[in-house]
Amino acid sequence: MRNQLIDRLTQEADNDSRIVLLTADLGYGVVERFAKRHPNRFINVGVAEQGMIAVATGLAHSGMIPYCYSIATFASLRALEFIRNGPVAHGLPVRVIGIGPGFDYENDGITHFAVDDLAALRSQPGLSIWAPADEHEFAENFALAHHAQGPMYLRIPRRPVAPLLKVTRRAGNNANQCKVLLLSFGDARSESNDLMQSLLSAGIKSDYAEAFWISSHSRQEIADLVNGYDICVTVETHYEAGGFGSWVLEVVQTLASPPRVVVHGVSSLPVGPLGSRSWLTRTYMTNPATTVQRVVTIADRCS
Amino acid sequence: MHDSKRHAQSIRRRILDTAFGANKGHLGSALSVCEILTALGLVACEFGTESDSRDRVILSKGHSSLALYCALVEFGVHNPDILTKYCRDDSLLQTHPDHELAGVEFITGSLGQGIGYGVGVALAAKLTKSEFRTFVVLSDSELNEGSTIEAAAIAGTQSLSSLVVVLDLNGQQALGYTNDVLRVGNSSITWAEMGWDIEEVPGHDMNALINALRSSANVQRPKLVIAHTIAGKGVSFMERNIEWHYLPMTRPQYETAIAEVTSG
Repeated sequence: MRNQLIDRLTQEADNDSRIVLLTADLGYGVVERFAKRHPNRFINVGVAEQGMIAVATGLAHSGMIPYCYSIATFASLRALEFIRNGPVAHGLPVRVIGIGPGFDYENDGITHFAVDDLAALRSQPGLSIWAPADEHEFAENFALAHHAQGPMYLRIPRRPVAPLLKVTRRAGNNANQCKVLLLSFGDARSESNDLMQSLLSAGIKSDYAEAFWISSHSRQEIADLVNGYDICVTVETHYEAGGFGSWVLEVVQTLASPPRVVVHGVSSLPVGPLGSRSWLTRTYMTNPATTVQRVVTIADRCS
Repeated sequence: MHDSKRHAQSIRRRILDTAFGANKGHLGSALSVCEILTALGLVACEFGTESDSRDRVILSKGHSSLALYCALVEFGVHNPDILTKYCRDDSLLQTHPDHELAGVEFITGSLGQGIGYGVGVALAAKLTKSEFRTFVVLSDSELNEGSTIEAAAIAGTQSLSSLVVVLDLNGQQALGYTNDVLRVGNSSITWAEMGWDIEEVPGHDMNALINALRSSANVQRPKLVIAHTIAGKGVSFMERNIEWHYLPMTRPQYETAIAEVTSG
């Protein structure tokens, strides 16, 4: 999807001279196509993420539309105060591109694991987060992201995400009439698929939906989506604390009969032994059996 | 061949063997620091041990972790078999160092953070009147980060004479040559102005490196050893070639690389 993003930005820049692509010395094999076509609007600021955001803020305040490219942890966490005091405080259209959600950078270790970027950024008023999972979602909503008012964080997978689940969106009611929704965020499809199978094995049918946004505009959409369910299980490649599931918990407080929200995500600090993405997921995310047990316990009270 | 050169050559071979076995890259920066890590292995007191009195060696340029693992093996901290675990599941040996592995002081991989940690360690040594020295291996791309300059200024201001930073000045970073990417000035001038002693050495000259690291520090100043190195050193098709920051080797490339390093 990195290539799709840069291709699209390159096209947009053909017709919009306000678009500038900045990188903090990352994007080898990806950003070159933009640099070649728009050399004057491609700026490698060096390994200087804070400076990149500060410069982008000045550009945006001067009428430009800057996109800032880096690995997600560096783009979001290292530059956080600059994002806060710059584009957030001034309501400017700086687009921060964070590559590699969750354990996408697998063997590179915790310095490269974006498991807390959502928590840091979703607290910022007016900042929208977009986490497309595939080329379809990207193509469908890029224009919305590009033209949105205010700052934006694009959480872009480095590797292909699992295909859309081959399940019916309405799986039918459970025997105890408990209605369960499994709500996957961004790139968490494979984890959602595994969890859905585990739930089924325990006799829990769940409907399935995906979300790609955390923003003030999408609050009502999420509220409408989860309304009427007894249990909403959120799945994300982020710490259980502070991410998408926590946001859903905040959203459902506005409902008259809110569902119980069960958050499934990264549950422990990923340092020490590491490995491939799948190994990291098995080792550092919530054990599916634990989440299933929590759902079963709540479901037993439904009837 | 002098023992120190033999150590560096062995580290270089281990890097190529291990990276090829794991189909991983980051070779240019790893091959750049073989002599630097060899010199540290020979000079640093109780290198890689858990002893409280050991000299601390901090690899701020964490993307050269494979070179560090190979140096730890070369100097007997770990058994060579450990390298078969590089980038495997459930392993402490990944593409950036983790402090749970013996010989690793601090998790690095986000540039410009290891040096600040090193300044803190050296400050602790000063406050507790400890004898150990602190060595930090810094990449020239880390000079892009403001945090590096902040740490350098603190160290100079605090007169941390037990601190030695070895700057691996290979002139390259991820997307280009450092002078093309960002002009950060002449470190020998700017760091001296922040209170550092400066020594420049050929970064693949073992004697020069060892002497620079051994020489007694100025009682008032930290020391910056600027090591002029070549990214991809020892493998002709990798030397000064930007793409070898990331690329893994094919088998023919690996065989050529091993032959060159062995004959070199």
